[in-house]
Amino acid sequence: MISNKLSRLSSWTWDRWLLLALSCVAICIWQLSPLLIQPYPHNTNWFESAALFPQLSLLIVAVGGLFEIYQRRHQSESGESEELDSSAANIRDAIAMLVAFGIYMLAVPILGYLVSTLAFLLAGCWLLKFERRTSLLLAFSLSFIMWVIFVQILKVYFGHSWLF
Amino acid sequence: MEFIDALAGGFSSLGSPPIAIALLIGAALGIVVGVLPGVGPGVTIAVLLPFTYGMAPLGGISLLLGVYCGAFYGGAVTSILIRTPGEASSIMTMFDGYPLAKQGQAQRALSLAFMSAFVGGIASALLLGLVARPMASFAAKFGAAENVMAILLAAVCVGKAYRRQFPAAMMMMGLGFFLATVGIDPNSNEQRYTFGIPGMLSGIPLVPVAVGLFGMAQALVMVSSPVPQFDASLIQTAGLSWRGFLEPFRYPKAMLKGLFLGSAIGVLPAVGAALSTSLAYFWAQQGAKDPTPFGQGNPEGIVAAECANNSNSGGAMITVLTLGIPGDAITAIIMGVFVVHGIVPGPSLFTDRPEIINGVLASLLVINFVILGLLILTVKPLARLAYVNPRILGLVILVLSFVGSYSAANSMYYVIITAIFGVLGLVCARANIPTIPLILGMVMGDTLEASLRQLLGRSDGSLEPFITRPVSLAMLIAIFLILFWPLLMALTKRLKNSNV
Repeated sequence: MISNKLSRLSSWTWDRWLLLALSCVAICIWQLSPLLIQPYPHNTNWFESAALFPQLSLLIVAVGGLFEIYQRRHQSESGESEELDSSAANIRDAIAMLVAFGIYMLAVPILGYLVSTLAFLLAGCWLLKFERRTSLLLAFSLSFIMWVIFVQILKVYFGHSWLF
Repeated sequence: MEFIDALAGGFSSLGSPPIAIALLIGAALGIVVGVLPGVGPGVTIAVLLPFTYGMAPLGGISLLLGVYCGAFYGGAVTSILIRTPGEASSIMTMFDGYPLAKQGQAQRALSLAFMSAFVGGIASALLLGLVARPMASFAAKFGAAENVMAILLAAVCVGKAYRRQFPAAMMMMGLGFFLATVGIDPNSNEQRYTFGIPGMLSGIPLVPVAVGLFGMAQALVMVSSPVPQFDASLIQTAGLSWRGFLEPFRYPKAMLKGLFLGSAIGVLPAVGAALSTSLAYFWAQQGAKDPTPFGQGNPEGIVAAECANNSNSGGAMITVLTLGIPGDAITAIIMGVFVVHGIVPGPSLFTDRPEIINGVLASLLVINFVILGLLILTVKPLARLAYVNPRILGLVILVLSFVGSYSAANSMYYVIITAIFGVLGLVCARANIPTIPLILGMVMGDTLEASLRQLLGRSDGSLEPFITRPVSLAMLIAIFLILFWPLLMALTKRLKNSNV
C-alpha cells in the first residue's frame, strides 16, 4: 500500500513538486505569521487584524497550488507556457547568463558601471558564441552608449568604485 | 459637448514638448518592438517603466501607450512578410496576409492591415471617450462592498481566461495579493513579513517585479533559445499602396465586426486581443463580400482581424481608468505609472485629475496618426529589423533590466528583486505557471485589502453588506456563475439523462 503510494509520488513531474513546495511555503508562512508580523495584533478582532488579508492570500496560494497539482495528475510533462514559450530554451545557457548577471550585479559597485557592463557584455557574447567582431562591436558600443546616457546625462549614481 | 471639451483639453496637454516627444518615442519604439523577433510590448513596457519615474504622469503614460499601440501595428509586418506573428493577436492577420504577400501583393496586404488597425485604434479611442465618463459616474457610487466584489470578479475572470490552468492562475493571483501586503501596514503600522530586511519596510516595489517577470525572464529565454529560421524572400517586397489604404472601407461589415468584438472583449479582464481577433476573423467569414477563400488571401480576414486587434487598446483602458482594475499585464504596468506618481485610478480620477483622463484620450487618438505616419515613412527599412538576432536583443534587454531597475531608486535592492523575479519568471515559464496574474494581484492587492478592511470594520465583521447591496450581490452571483457554470451544466446534463 505504502510502496504503491511512494511509486506514484516518484512519477510526479518536477513542476508538481514545485507547486507542492510553493503550497508548503505558503502554509509555513501562514503558520509563522505571529512571528513575521511585528508586533502581532493578538488582542484585535479578526476582521481588524493586519494578518487577515495576507493570511487569506496565502490560503489562496496553498489551495490553488494543491488544486493545480491535482489538475496535472494525468500530465507527463508540464506543456508549453501560453505566456512565455521556453520549450526550445537551453536551460544551461540560461543558467550561465544568470550567473553572469549575478557577477555583474556584484561587480558594478566595485569596478564601476562602464567597466562592469563592458565585461558582462563580453562575457555574454562569449557564452552565446557570437563572432569576435560582433562581440567587440556590441560590447564596446552598447556599454559606452549606456554609460553616456545613464551616468553622464541622467546622472544615475552607481556608488564609489575602484574604476569609473 | 462635454466630450469635445475634454478632447480639446487633452490635445492642449499633448502640446507640451516633453509629452509630445514621449508620445513620438513610444510610438516609434512600439512599431520597432512589434517587428523585432521575440520582443513584445510587455517586455518593452516593463523595461521602460522605471524611466517614467522622472517624467510627468501624462508623459509616462503616453510613452507606454505609444509602445502598446505601436506593437499592434508592427506585429502585422512580420505576420505578413515572414509568416511569424510578432504578437499572438497577429496570428489571424498571418492567415490571409502571408498568402497575399506570396501572390506578390505584400504592399496591398500591409496597407490593408495598417489602415484597418488605424480605424480600430481611432474607433476604440472615441469609444473610451464616450463610455468612460458615464461608467465612472456609475462606479463613483461604489462602496467598499462593490470595490471588493469588482476586484474579485476581475480576479476570477483572469483565472478563467487560463482555462485548465485556473488553479495555477489563482495561486499566482494570491501570491500577488500577498506580496502587496509586505511592508508596513498603513492602517496599524505593524511590520508584515519584512524578515528584518530594511528595504522591505516600504514593501516589494512593483517596478523591479515587472522588470524581472517580463523583461529579464523573456531575455533569458531569448538568449538561451536557438535563432528562429524563416523565409526572408518577401522582406524586400515591403511597401505600401494607396489603393490598399482605401480598400478596408469596401468591407464595412468586416470592419464593424472587428470593431465590435475588439472593443467589447478589450473591456473584459485578461481575455485579450488574441481571442477578439480570432472571433472577428471567423465571424467575418460569414457573409463575406470577397469570393477569395479565407486562408488564401481574403482581404476581409485581414480587415476584421486588424480592426479587432487594435480596438482592444481603448477597451482595455476603460476598466483601468474607471474602476482601477487592469485587464492584462500591459495595462497593469501602465497602471503602475499612475501608482508611481501617487495617482489612484478609478472614478475619483475623473474629478480630481481630469487632465490625465483627457490626456489619455487625446494620446490614444494622436498615437494612431503618429504610428500611421511613421509606418508610411519607414515601412521598407522597418521590415529588415526582422533579421536582428534575438540573442543579441536578449543581451541588450538584460543590460537594460539592470540599469532600469537600479535607476528606479538608485538601489541594488531593486536589482536583486529583479533578478529573483527574473528567475521566478523563467521557472514559471518552464513549469507552465502563468505569471501575469501575479502582477495583477500586486496592483489590485492594496485596494482589495483596504476595501475589505473598511467594509468589515464598519459591519463588525459581518459579510452581510455583500448580499444586501444590489450591485455587489449581482457581482457575487456573476462570480458564482463563472466559477460553477461547468459544474451546473454537468449536473443539469446528468439530471436530464437520468430523466430520460
